[in-house]
Amino acid sequence: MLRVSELTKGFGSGSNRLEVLKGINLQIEAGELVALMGPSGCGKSTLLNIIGGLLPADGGEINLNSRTYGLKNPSGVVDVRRNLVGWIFQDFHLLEHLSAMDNVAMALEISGVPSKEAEERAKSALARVNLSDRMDHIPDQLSGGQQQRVAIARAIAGNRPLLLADEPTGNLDIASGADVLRLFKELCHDEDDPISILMVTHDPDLASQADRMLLLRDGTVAASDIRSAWGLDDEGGEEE
Amino acid sequence: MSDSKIDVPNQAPSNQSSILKRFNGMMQKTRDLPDNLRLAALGAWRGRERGMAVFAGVFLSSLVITTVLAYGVGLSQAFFEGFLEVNAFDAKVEFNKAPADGTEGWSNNTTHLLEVCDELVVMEEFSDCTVVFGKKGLHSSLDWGNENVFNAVPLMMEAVQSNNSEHTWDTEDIWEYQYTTGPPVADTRAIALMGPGAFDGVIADRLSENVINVEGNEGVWKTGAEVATERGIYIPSDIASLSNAAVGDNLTSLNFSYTSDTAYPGEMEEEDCDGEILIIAETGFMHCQHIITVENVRVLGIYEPWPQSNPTLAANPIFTTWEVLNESQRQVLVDNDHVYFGLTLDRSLLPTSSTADAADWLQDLGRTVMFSEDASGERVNRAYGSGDIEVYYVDIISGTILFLNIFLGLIQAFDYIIMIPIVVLSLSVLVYGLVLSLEQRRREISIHRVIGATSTGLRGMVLLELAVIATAAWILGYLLALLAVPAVLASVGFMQFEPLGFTVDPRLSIGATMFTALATLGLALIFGRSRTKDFMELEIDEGVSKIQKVNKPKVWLHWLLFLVGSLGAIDTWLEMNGSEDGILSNWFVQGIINVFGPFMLWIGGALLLGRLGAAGPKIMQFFFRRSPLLSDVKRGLKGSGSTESVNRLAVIMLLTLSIVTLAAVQGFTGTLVDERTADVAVGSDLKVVMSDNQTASEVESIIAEFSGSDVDVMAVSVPQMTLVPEGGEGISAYVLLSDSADVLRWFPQAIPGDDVSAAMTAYQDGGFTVGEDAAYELDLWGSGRAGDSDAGDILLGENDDRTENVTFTWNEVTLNFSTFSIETIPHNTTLRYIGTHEFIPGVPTAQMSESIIIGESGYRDLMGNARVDNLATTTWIVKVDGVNGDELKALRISLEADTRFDSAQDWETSHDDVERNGGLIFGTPGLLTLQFIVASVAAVASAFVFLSLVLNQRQKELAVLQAIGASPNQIIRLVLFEILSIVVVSMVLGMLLGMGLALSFNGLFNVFGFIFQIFLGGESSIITRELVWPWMELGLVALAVFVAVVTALLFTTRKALRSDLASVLKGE
Repeated sequence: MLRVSELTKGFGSGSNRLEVLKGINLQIEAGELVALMGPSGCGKSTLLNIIGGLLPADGGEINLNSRTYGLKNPSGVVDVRRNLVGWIFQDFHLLEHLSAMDNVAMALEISGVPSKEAEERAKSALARVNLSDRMDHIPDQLSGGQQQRVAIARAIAGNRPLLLADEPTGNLDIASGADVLRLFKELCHDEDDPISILMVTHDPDLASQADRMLLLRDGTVAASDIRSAWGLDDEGGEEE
Repeated sequence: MSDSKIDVPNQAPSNQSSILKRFNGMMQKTRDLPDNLRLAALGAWRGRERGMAVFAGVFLSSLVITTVLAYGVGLSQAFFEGFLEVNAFDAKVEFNKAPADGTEGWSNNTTHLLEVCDELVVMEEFSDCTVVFGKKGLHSSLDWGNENVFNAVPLMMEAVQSNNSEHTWDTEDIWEYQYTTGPPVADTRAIALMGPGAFDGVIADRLSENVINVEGNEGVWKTGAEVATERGIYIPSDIASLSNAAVGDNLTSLNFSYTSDTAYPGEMEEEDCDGEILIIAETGFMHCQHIITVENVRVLGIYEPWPQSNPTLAANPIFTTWEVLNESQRQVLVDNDHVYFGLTLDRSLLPTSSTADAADWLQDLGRTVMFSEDASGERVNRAYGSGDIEVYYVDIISGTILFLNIFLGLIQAFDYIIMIPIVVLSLSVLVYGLVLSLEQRRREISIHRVIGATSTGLRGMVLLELAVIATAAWILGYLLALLAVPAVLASVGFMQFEPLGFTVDPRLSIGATMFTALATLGLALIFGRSRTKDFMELEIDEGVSKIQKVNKPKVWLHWLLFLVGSLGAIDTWLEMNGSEDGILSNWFVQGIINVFGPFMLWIGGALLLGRLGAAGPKIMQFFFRRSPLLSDVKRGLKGSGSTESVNRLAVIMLLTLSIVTLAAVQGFTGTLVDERTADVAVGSDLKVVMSDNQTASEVESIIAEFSGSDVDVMAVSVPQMTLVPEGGEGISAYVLLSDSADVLRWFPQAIPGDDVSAAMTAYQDGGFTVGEDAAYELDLWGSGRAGDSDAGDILLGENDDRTENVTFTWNEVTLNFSTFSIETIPHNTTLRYIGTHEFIPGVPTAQMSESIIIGESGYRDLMGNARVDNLATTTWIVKVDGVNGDELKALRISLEADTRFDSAQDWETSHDDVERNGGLIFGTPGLLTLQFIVASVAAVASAFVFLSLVLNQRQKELAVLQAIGASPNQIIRLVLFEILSIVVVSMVLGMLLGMGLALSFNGLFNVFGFIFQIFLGGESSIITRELVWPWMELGLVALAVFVAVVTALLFTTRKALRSDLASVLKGE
């Protein structure tokens, strides 16, 4: 479903040039919850931003549901952000002056969904994240976990096949974080309409609950399962 | 940590060590200052968006406050110069005591007299000096206790003989001249015989200024030698007109008289005087007059008379050189105290900071001229002219200063009041700019605190940056203001400028400069300091959080201000629309409302309407709800306008646009009032009084001689007669001949109704109008007899039931030669009443209310065609097509100098007079122009600056929208719609508020107009201040603001769109 091939990205120029991604190859299947880990500054967020159409790569390509992109400016991949990827940020990024309902419906309307339908779909998306009773609250009146769930509702309401989550639980307490992860699992493993989630996290506990884990090191994908990611291959399992 | 801290021993703090610590700290600070300044400047540049807001605010307030203060200084100078201009001499120096046999301190030796002049000019204060034979000395100060004031008679003109038969020097009363200033002395034209000093240098420059040099009358102020050889004289134009004299005329002789003795009323007998005894009518003082005759003089020039000013000198004399006299004649004049020294000051040395300073300076100068100290330090009279002459100094300038002070104070009070809005505006731009700019630092400051910065250090950082920006802005505003002031003073009408004719140097005193710095820079720093302190007191997490609590505004107070302020506006509006005294009939309450109402309306209105403006997107959404423009983004507009910054943008737009509107409306209204006042005074381009009765075509052809054949000249007179209405008393009637529709400058206030051409047609179709008193007298509708229902400014149509026919009778009086008896022949005509009039342009307005006006047809019915066709009279109102400005003035001067005219008035001169002391007061059009320009610039600039800031704050929001799938196009539509609807709604509301303000300020203008009229003692202007609505100019400003806003929006939105979405979202 998502295939990233030979993706490269560097910042700066001349002697200050820093190659962050040096040819990333990875693949995610529909319904997979994938955790992306790696040391700080290794390019996790950069990779996520490129897949999410917020940053152009220098080389390589991304194929998502038969849409190929990767090198275009953000304004050239509006359709990707509209129809293919949904974003979930560490600090939620909800529109402050809009209610939960409006936050979700706005995203749909932007993609061309008529108002009435957008509201219907927003309602069901909020119901799916268990926020039916908080639809008219503005972000300031919601807890962090609730805000993040509104953000998730916003991301899934558009029926996008892939969600990108950048440290989704970073600003949440443990219980809320667990809630969010439970929700992620439900979404991925939904029988009718499974979606994929690529999640950047530093939390090994969180990562361990993912279906699969990718480790980014030195600009490439160093491992693609938890054992190798943690360097545990040789010593045998240390599983829960 | 500084080194000093390490050095200080860790003991109980001794006095010495704490001093050392402080000293070291200060040293450290000083060492760090250049580096800190550099960092602050760098910081200012990096955060230039927020810096721009501070810069704009400080710059604007510095510009405005400095202009207001410097304008005060410049106005005082301009005023002073204006008053000084009418004096050729700035000071008169005379003998300390009147010359008499056996007394000392004077000399009749002309060489000695010239030496006095030379000695005086050596003083740097004096620029020129001449000996003058003319008015007698005062020898003491110019006040009522000094009887010399009544006895200082001039050398009086007696006669001129000429061989030229066309000359009419024998015209009766040709030498009669009314001195309108000062105590009554003698009502006779004076002559001044001047030494060589008057024909070169500064005095010559000043005297030559008024010499008429037009085609056919090429007069020149010649050099002393030339005037001496040609035995030249210069005569005022009124004398030239009466005598029919022209430049180059040779006169056989000229007689004038001097006064040898003066006595109290009734105390001079025939035998006491070997000349003629002259008794002054007003005072009864008796003067013994002797004639001096000079022969073969030549008219070298005709000059336009000066306005009469200081009575120390006899105004507008015949000027000539003392060379026409022989030495013994000169000695006689000196012996009889008819000599003085005319001096000019180096006016640039006069302190111009205030008139009080000038008065002091002049007083000191007078003392220096009169006295010196002897060896023992005693004050003694200074000796001049080889040590035998003592002088008395008569100051001509300071007499005008007292008058000037009162008048200037009034004008300044008025001007300061009308500048309050723009000062408030600039200060609010400053405060809002600071709030917005510091708001952006709130998070930054909290973060700095997290990482351990001390509050002093942080405050220092913020304040230093603020100081760098604010200082630059203050200096720029200050300098620009000093440059702008001369232009403001040169403004004669709204957005109309004419060269001032002299330079003003509106330099501010150090105190005033400090004040401008304190009011702008100081305010910025104090405000910045308290804000940063507030930030410091915030809990750190509160500072970092995105939502900020805002205090609830006091809406009830805004409403109260708005409602009370509206009273004045409603009152004016009612009065403009026919109500007698509006809603406020108590004059005291009305006065208070007139003065304070506008400001209450303005502030209350701006704050209330600002909320409405901020709700602009909601209002505009109502109209565009179904448009495809908004269908996909309208949800994003929900809840917009709730933010403080948007609200402030709306308030600033409202404030600026309301001032733009106010200034434009009052400015144009004032200009129009000035023009109409001149229209009413003159009637058309010229108003002339002929020496003899002439017909229209004769007058036209005479004027065409001067104006040239290519100019279309049209003259009309307004005959006056007495008509008797059926069963009534005789009433004065003015006749509008058919040409008066074209020649006279009509405007709707004069006639019934608003349509001038309809009214003119109605007059010519046999209509008549009445003044309000006449309406009462004739019991016609329109007198207001039955209350408001019986008054109104409408043209009554033929079928109107308020119109009626009245038969008038004119009784022609003839002398029957066969019976030698007086017969009256009645002529009748029936005219239709068409409404009430107020005046006829060019006709004195005093009696208009008690008179009627009829058209030419009725006049012909009464007088018969032959008499009307050959109507000959003296007063004519003339339209000279295409001649205006200085050409028109020149034409009037040549007419005035011509013998066929008794007097002439031109529209331009009359307009100038009005502008300088009439409807809009000196400099006020300039202030309104300044207000208009500054507010327009402020509107455009603040739109730009504030938008940048507001959008900067929203950068994250725009990035989020993009992340969830919004296209650049959608973002631009969303932002454009939201901001434009706020701006457009605020602009519309601002203009409405400005119109309300213009209405309520009208009351203030009326109050001050009333005070000025009382003070000037002149006739009160009859022109109503009907507001002019300059839609075009307002539209242009609105368009400029709109373009600026769209540009700023596109610019900043594009910038936001181009920014690195990933890092904006990360909050980096």
